[in-house]
Amino acid sequence: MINYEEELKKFTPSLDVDEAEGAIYSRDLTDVIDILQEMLRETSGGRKD
Amino acid sequence: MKCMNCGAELNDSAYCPKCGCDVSVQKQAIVLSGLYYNQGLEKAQVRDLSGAIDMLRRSLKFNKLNVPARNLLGLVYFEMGEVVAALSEWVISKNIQPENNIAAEYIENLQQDANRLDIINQTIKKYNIALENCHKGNEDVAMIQLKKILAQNPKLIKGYHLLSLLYIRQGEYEKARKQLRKAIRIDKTNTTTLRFLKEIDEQTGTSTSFEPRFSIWSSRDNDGNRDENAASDASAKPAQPAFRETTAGSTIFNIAIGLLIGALAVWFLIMPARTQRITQEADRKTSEYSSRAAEADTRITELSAQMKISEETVNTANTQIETATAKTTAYESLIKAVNAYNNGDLDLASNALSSVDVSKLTTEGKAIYDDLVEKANGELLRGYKTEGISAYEEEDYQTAIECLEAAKAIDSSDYEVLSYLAHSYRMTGDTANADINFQLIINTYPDTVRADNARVYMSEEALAAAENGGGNQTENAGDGENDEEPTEGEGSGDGEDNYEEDNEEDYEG
Repeated sequence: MINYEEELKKFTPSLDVDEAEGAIYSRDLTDVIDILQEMLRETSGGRKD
Repeated sequence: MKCMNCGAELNDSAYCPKCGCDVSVQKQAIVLSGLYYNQGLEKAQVRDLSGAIDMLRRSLKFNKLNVPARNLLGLVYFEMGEVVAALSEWVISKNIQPENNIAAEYIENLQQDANRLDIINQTIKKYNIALENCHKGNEDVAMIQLKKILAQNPKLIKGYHLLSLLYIRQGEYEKARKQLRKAIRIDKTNTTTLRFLKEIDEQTGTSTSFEPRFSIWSSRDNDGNRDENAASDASAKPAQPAFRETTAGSTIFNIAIGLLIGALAVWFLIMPARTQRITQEADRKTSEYSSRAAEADTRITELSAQMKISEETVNTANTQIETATAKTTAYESLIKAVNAYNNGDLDLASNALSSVDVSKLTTEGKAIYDDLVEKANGELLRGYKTEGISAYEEEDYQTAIECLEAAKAIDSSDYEVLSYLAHSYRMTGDTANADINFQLIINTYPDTVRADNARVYMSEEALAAAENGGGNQTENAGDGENDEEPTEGEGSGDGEDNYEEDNEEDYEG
């Protein structure tokens, strides 16, 4: 049985075009390769130390 | 492909030719990104947009520089009405690869069609207002707004979901199903759409069909798809003959089959509908007549109650009239008696008094009545007694009996009246009546000279019966002639000796 109140909470306001710029800047674009690079940097930094 | 450590161009080796870094994981990530892109593309091609988004996001998680995956993700977002999300992906894509990027064309197309972009932007703002109205409880307003939004932006899948949710809340499941059918044409595997449809199927007890209602028209519209599908299905299905020869017999047989199917369709589809319509009409008329009959019954009951009240009123009035009439009659008789008495007509006065209903008189009327009765009866008694005695002395015994009986009717305890009456009967030879009156004297004046004298004149039979039966004879005699019981009169003692002597002389003489 669908609970109207609970279902309504799942609906979130959509961003309009004016808010697109902020949405782009706030995007998290981290991917697996970024994580690998970070791990590599940390590994090489540890070796230097 | 470039090394993630030094940026040098990589070859088939698992290590970077320049820095010697192990790039096998990087290469696997890029391969996986491409694999997910392919899966996303396949899903997008069959309009499994939710599945496509899932795959393309995974692809970008492995390689954010996968421009085709990002462009396709933006396109899928745009198809679902998420213009801002689509623009975001395309802008990022353009930044990653400024040249030879189709995302630039997408952005340019949108910017060129400013009117369309503005409409889409307005619909997004209105959607947000409608959502706010839902939260405030203004569902009716939200529904109107959502209908307008979806008319302007028919790809806004969230709008279909929200409108369906409102319909479900109001119990209008078929309308909700209709909206969700539109949503599922855009995205076939959207979990929200499928969840709402499952709820509707459970509530209505009928499963939602996703097949087009008019397959002929839809097949015409989807000719291109059908051709493609036909090509793909060709290997699975057996080849159909391109030409089939028919004979006259088979044509007639087919026509007969067609007629039979038509007749069966009429019988099973049209006739039940007609029967149902007639039944509904009959039910409606029955209900109408029933309500009319109920109204008539109610009216009859009301009128019966009014009639009963009227009858009671009439009865009360009649009773009052009868009472008043009886009172009037009683007073008229009383007045008549008073007038007759004043005029000296004692007979008329007596008759009038006898017709007076004493119970209808007031206390004052009763006093007048009693006074008049006393006066009139006294004078009448005296008149009858005088006349009777005179007639007796003149030996007119019949007249004497009449007058003395009248006097006895007024006062049955008067000794003079009883004595003369008894002797009058005795003189006429009516021994029975004479004995009755003598016995009355004995009972009225027991143990007196009057009683002894009466016994002297009584017949032997009556005397014997009186002695044997006690008072029986007296009672019988009284019942037969007079209902009055023998009483002792107030003035009986006063004149006892005078009358006794007179009578004795007369009787002996």
